[in-house]
Amino acid sequence: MRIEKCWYCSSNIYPGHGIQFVRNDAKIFRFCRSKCHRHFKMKHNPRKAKWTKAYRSSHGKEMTIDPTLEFEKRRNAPVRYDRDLMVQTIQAMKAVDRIKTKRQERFQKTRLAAQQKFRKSIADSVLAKNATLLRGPAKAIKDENLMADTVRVGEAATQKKRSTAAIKAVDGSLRRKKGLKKGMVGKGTLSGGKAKAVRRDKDGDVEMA
Amino acid sequence: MGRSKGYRKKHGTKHRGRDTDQIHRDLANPPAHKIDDDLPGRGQFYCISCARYFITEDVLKKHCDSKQHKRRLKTALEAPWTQQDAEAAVGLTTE
Repeated sequence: MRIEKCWYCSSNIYPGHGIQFVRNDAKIFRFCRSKCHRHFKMKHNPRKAKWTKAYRSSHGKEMTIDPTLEFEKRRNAPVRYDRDLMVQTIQAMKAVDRIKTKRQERFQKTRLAAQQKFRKSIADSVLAKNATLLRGPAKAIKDENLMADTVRVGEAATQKKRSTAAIKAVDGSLRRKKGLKKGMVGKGTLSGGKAKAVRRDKDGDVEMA
Repeated sequence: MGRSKGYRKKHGTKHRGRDTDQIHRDLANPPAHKIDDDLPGRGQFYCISCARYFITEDVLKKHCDSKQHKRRLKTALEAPWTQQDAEAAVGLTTE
């Protein structure tokens, strides 16, 4: 009894499973299931199908360099049956498999962790690049005529300082128009209760809000 | 109802054309073509990468300019996939 490997996807073929095709030059092709057989018939290249072992191992998606992977070997010379050897082999197979599974799990974990890190770095760079989109209200205020003095202040300051300065400037000019004193929170100022109404006003007519 | 006949003809193994690995070998050692009256053009105008006979030299030349031919030639020149490659992908070697 021999466990063969699929020609297309390299998975195990146990006795009684799959199909084999013998070409007219006596070359044998074994397939684990009809999926692989169909791909063969359509002359597809297993290197290009992302789900095959060939693709996954060559693209660093699976553990390839490990001593546990080197135990499985095809031996063409028959070994004389020896009960003790058989028992030892089966015990060793179990132990090796246990270690192999653990190592594979560890490999996948580290691989996924690296992926997460990479994805996060991309997300961070996008956020940094499009920071102006997140400062929605400040941008709306920028369109207003009242912002003339704010721009001068904001040029030297950082992005955060710029937005807070904008709000302050708008408040100040509103106060001036309404005749309010510093520190007082008036109706229609950004630091006051009706901040939303001011933001929505695109024409710059803050008095209306 | 059933599968269309065209699909079966194309994807069956009954009249299977030359495989990529065979073509790869043919490209390295081009096969000699004797005169055969049963083949198109008496078997004298053969395209190796497409494993196909043509009736005249002109048709063969025109075929060699086609996109399909160029695509097949490109795939045939790559190293063919073998059972050894499939086994090596899972770390199985022969002792």
